[in-house]
Amino acid sequence: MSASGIDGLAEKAIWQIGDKIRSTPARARADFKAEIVNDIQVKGAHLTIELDPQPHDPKHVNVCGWPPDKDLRLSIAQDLCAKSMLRIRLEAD
Amino acid sequence: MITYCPTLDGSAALAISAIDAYSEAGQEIKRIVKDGLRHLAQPKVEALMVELDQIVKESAHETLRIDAETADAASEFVSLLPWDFPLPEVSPDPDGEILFDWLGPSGKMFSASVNKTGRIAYAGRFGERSKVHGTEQLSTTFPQDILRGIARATS
Repeated sequence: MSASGIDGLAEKAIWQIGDKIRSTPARARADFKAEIVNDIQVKGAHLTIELDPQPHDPKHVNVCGWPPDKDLRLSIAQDLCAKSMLRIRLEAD
Repeated sequence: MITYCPTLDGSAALAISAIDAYSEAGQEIKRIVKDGLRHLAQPKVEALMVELDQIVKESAHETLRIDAETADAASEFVSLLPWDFPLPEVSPDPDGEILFDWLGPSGKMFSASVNKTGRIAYAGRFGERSKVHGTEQLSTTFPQDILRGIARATS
């Protein structure tokens, strides 16, 4: 899973990261604290965050260590979702 | 032969597994019953089918396409959904599967992902310490564990 470090970035700059990797403008995003990746309590999951700087996004990271079983991956994704903050893009952004 | 199976929500699900699927007449009856079920389930199922078709069409322009087998399996899954169950959100998964999400009150959620072989991977989150996950295979009736999960997430 791809993610980006957003500490210290203005809202506009955060949305622009999403715009660069999508064919259409980003409309929503999920913000989460890096620590929650370590708190994921799903059997068999040992997720880690690995730095993967990209030209368009120097703070790009990959969330690695997803288990092979799809049902476990869904369960982890639900945990991440529950612990994230949904942000809807405003017209001004 | 058509058998009526009670479901968790009190509605009746039709199972047509008793038909001899290898005879021509059996195939014809199976098709008629299926078409009839689809007609009765409209417009809910129809709305989901339209959404599903749209996802498959849009995926043709993406790097990872939804193939015909996966689309068929997902359609079968939709056609088996109990008529009075809440509609899921449908989306393509990055691995080429089709994902169905039910979002309930208080952050409860249930997801089911269908692949080309008819394998349904599911997970439900009903609280910090209340979670389920597992796999089922598509058959002629809707998997009971998945029904329970949807009911729990949306109640």
